[in-house]
Amino acid sequence: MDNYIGTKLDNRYEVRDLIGVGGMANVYRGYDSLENREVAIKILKSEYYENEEFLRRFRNESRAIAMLSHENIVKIYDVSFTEKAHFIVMELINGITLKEYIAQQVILDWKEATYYTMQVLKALNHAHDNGIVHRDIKPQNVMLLSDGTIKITDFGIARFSRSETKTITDKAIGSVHYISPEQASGADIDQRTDLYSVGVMLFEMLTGKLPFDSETPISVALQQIQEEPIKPRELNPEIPEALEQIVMRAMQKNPGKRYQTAAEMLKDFEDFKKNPYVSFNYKYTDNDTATVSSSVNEPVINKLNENISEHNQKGRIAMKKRKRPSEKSEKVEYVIVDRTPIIPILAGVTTAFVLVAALFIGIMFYKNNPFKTNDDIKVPKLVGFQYESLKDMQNVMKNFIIQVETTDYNPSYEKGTIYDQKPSEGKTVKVGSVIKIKVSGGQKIVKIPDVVNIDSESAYSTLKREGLEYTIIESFHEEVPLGSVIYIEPAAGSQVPAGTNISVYISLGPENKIAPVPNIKGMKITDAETLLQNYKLKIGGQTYQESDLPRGTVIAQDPEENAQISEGSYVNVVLSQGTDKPTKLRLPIKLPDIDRTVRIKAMVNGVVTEQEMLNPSEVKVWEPVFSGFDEVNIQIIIDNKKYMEYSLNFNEKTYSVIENLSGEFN
Amino acid sequence: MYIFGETDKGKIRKKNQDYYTNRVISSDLGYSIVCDGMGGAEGGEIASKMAAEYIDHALFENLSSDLADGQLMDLLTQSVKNANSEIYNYSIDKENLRGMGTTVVAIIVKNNKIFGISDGDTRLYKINKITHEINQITKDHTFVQILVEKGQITKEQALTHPKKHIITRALGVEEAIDTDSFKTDIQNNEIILICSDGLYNYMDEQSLIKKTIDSAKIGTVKPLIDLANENGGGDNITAVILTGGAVNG
Repeated sequence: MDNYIGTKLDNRYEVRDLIGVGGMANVYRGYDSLENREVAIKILKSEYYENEEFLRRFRNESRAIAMLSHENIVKIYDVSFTEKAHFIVMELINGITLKEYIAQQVILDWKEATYYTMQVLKALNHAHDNGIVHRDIKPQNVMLLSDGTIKITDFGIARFSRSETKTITDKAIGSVHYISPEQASGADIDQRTDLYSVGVMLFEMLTGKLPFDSETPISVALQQIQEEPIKPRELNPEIPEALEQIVMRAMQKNPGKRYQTAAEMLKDFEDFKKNPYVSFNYKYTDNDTATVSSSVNEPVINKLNENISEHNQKGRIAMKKRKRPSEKSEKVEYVIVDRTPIIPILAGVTTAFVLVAALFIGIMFYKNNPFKTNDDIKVPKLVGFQYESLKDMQNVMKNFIIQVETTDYNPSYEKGTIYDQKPSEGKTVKVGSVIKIKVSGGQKIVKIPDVVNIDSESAYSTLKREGLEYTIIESFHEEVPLGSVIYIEPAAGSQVPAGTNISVYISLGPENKIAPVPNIKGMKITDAETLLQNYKLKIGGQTYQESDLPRGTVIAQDPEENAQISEGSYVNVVLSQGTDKPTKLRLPIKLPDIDRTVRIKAMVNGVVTEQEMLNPSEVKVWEPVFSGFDEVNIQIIIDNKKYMEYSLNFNEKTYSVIENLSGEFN
Repeated sequence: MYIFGETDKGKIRKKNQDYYTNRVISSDLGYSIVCDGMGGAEGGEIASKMAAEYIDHALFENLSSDLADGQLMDLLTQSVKNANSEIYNYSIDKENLRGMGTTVVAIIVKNNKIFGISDGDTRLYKINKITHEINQITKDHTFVQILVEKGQITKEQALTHPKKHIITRALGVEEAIDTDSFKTDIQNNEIILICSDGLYNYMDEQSLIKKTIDSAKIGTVKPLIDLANENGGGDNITAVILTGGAVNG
């Protein structure tokens, strides 16, 4: 295992605890004793250290990324490649990923989405100017701090993590939702690929949905390549048209029809911020090159501008929607509602469950406070609903503050189900009141009874009595009598939910399989070996005798045909050496510097031919003699541990080293 | 009939998650199973070994030259499907093994007929040692293969596609599995090569053909494995060769 915890790297960085595990590197919380600050240390997994080509690319790219300096990019303080570890020291971020935030909020206010997206674009603009393409823009790689600041991580990492580790499709699902058509098709990519991903991310923030989603990642990838996304406003009519146009432009299939640079896309955002009714008249017919122009539809709104651009500094703007007749689609007018500043509640929480709870309360304040209504309302029924599903219940979310009182185990309710609420259903309260709920933590937990060594039937009934399921697995065992339990998994004494399936290993008694010896006389040695393998037997010692038969033919065997011997036993053979004499070869073996007596053995094709007790530091070189034909495999064993493996060719009188383990003997 | 093979960890991976078994029952009946495991710290290693051993056991117990062609195919299919359930059931309640799986190519050879099953991206090729013609008999169950079939990418793009390691089928991942079955034959001048992606992803097709013919001549797949290692050895490497004629012929 790569265990660096407790060590100090470069005599400076104390590695404290593991905070993230990735395919290629692990991330640790650390302390820089020179700068006296906490840092994040990303250490490349040691399995990559042998791959020179990979290391070279990793170093070069890491140094390039370290040159980036932008407030919206996770800062890299140091890049170090030593014998002990290859690592990157980074700014320690205390926040959550945008993915987690979207999961809790479901739909982000369009102004909030704009604010985050612009920060992402500023970061990308800086990176692209420096020739670095992120390649894996997705909300999982965007960190959100408690003050609303965005920090992008994992720049360029996608290039390395291009792993060759086999995975089945559903494991790879996370990443296909944000990839550009050119990434999906394996074509060359450039900075415009990042802008497509930004478009997808913005789509998700605004609508709470992914533009392309399907049961299999393949269909998602195909959709990225060939399908037009649904318009965001069809999912959420509150999205300003201009913002929808920005999304659609970023998500053009053809990179040539997209925004060409992050700066270009930022410019549209700036225009939009100045005037939410701006219209970008992008056209996407095949012959058209995209044209850009802005037109103002609603001059009335001008006074809004300042407020919107000052969004997040002064306070937030809530919006109300009023339908008004319009030529094409419904127009939306926004009314400013003054409100107190809100900081997204993003504490450094340990469990997602708590996080969800905290955010729910956050959303409630956010949504209720500004309206300051005192209307009466009836308490809805929450008992029996999944806690997770509350966020989809608009009337509940709008009108109440939900607080989770406990999350105890409750045998009669599934995990996550609300089993109690106060006030109860039907009571009349003020809008904005608190409803306290209790959420079930899941089923009853039982302790697995000890059934090892007892008769299977009574073991089954004991398990059943405890409410456990079981699966029977039979296997041979030398000691446990036939029909008794050898062991169970999970082990006795473990605490598991009722209904857990326990693997019960039942003894079939001791294994004593007898195999009949087949006739191998007259066969070539290789065929004989394969045949014996089929009988679960092995070739034993091989000796040669002169004979008229072709060389390598079995002329005698011991035991003889039809003898009954245990599986795994050896059958010794006498082979024809043909008319040739076997070649004798002396193989000098340099011994390790060990000053004690060891047992050294030479094995030919798995059979010991020579052995000796000697002191390697005195003898220095051991010279066993081998005789035989063609090519054989030689293993030199010192004290039962492989030292060297050779391939020896009697015909050519040459040998080659297959494996050299001498390094492990000093 | 000669079957021989070898598996090698390669130069990068710490473990060998490939596993293979060859058996010759009689001079005209035998079989070969090649598996390439995936998943987790230990999962891949366990899944490929379990699959190969289970199928080996089922074939060894039930295979005989009396079986008709259709029965041979049924036996093979059933063995693979049962192996799938075995692995799935074994891994389902074990946190560290859940999701483990393996590819498989399993063939039964009877006289010069070959009956086979495949799942995943392990391949079976037929190579003619005189004309150097090559035929991939198995179909890859991979993400990029589907993109190729849908006409979204070319075969050349598939070779370097960043997602080429994603497979769409594997034994042991789900309760039930679909299998591809295939029938082919082997003539005197032909060589069958079964190999994991650690082999074919690390050399071009011409080298693959040449080294397979070299391997068949000397009766060991070392030339193939060595070349894959020379070209990086980034993955576990397994090659099994089946020849109709004499090894040294």
